[in-house]
Amino acid sequence: MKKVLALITVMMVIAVMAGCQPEADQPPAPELDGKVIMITDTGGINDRSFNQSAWEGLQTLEDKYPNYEFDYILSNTETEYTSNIRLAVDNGSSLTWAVGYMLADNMDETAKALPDEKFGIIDVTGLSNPNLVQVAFKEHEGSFLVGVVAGMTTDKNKIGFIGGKTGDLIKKFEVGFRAGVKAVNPEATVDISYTESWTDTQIAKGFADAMYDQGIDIIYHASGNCGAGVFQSAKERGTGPEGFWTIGVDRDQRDEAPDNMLTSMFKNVGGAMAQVSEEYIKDGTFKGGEVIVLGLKENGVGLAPTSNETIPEDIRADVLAKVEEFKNKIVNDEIQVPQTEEEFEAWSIE
Amino acid sequence: MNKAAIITLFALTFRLAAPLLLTALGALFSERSGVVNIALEGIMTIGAFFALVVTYATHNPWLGVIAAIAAGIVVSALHAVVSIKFKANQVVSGVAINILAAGLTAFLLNVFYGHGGQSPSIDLAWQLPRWFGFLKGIPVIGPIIGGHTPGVYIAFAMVPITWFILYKTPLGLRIRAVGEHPRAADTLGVNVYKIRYFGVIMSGVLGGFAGSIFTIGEGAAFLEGMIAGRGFIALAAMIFGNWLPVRTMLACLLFGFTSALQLVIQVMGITTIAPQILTTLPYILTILALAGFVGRSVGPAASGKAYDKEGN
Repeated sequence: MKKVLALITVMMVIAVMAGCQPEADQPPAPELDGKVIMITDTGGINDRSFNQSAWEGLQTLEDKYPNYEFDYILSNTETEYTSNIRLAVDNGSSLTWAVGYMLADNMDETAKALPDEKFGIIDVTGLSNPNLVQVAFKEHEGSFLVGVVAGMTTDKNKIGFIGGKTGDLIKKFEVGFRAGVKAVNPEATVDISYTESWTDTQIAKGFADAMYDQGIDIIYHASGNCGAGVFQSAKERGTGPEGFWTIGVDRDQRDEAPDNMLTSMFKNVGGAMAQVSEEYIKDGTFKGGEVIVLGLKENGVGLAPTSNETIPEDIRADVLAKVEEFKNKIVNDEIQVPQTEEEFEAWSIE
Repeated sequence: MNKAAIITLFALTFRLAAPLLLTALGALFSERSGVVNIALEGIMTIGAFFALVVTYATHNPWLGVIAAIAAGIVVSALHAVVSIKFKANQVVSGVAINILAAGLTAFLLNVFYGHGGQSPSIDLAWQLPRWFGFLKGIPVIGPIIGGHTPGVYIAFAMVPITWFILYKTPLGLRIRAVGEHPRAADTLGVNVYKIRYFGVIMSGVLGGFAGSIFTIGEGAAFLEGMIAGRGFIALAAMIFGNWLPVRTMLACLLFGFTSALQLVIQVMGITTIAPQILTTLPYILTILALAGFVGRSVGPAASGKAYDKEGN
């Protein structure tokens, strides 16, 4: 028994060491000006979401800055976050990104422990470390635009919104969306529901079922992985033009329900990563301690690129023109998109 | 509330209650034989995962169901060996299995599909069929009881079956005896260990099957965390049902109903009652039941205690 235990222990130690030193045998890298390494959350690099978008963003810099190296480290479990951030620093990363709010605590801890290193994090605003730049998005502005699409597409003037957990963040999506609907179609009602979960697809499907049963023909979800339940409900019932539209969130979710997706509220994580990284690479500008919030003006949010294929053809041109019109108004500060219930109450389109 | 809302409400009640009921009946077998099983969450998670993996590979949901049950058996057998053979603390073993299931499925997602978080989706055509769709023609009642996934009908059919096994067969008598007083059962020649293995493995069979509902029945993909505490809710339902099959069914229906109700009133825009209060109601009732205020919940006397044939 003891021998077995000893053997297992030795094997585990070897495994851990092997995991930590993946590049030990490689020849030394050529002289570099620096490295930008990003740490994924558990979604992995091909998650068709955040992580993938972030990595695609960084890759756009590869040709522009051949002296720089861009890389990522995968987090297979939540317990690896802190060690992966440190691993990136040990590997010589001059700017280390954590992708997603799930890494917020780990990033906070590491940034405090390593005050001389430079860090960035996506979708987090609540931290304050002089060596950490936080990037967030004006989701209410993007949600406003998908609200415009929904308001113009609905046949029955009944639209639904399914949020994840109640809170200020998802409220921004909800209120922005309602304002967008109201701006183009004051007749339409928006039913609001919260699943109080990010993962409970069965409950999310129940919400979507209940909404479609009530004659709602478009549902916008901002409920993370719960969205799978919403799409499932729509797919089982029929297609978008038959009255079962869905609107995706965070990325272009068209693949998840190709016949039902009206549009998606797209967050340009990759663009944001590339932009902030490039500023640093170009002339060393590093906005440590700051929160960079990207809206429509900065191309941080918007309609998913495939919207010009998914919006029904007969109204497509009108809808996209209207979206463009509102986008310009928001960019030019002619319209302030509300973010809270109070702001929405007081809000009206002039 | 209009007619559509009422139909949605009751149809959802059955759909939400079914996986709870299957899992709770499994727990009933385990606890009645004297083994506390809080590994249900892990069993459901593993069942959900392997149902998806096999269905995705073979395009046959029934093979997926078999895989879910097999995976449930393996996980519950682990709990059984640790609890019965090695006489370890049953609660600790259950917690460990829940953590193991979450970690293992996350890891295997990466191994099988190259990315974590979410598996690829199966086609609608590969999902479990909908049964009794022809009933939908009956006004009001039809859409409530017809056209659900097989798990819903099997769950409710399992209630009389469980009752029959427990109360009308020699096996059931032995299960109950072993759960109440294993020493007495042993002296009468009942193999306590064997009966307990049976009880725990039944919880794996039913819990694994319940898990498959999420990935190949109502859903079409496996997502980390999608079981969302239902293993524990099933356990609470069984306790609220006082370790009795029919009452457990009623408890699951109550839990399903309160979830469905909070959901429908949110969609209907009814704000007179906070949905959060409704969702917590089942748990408040369970706590009250355990404390003896509502009915009286008393578990099998030997539940949670390892049995040592040689020892004192």
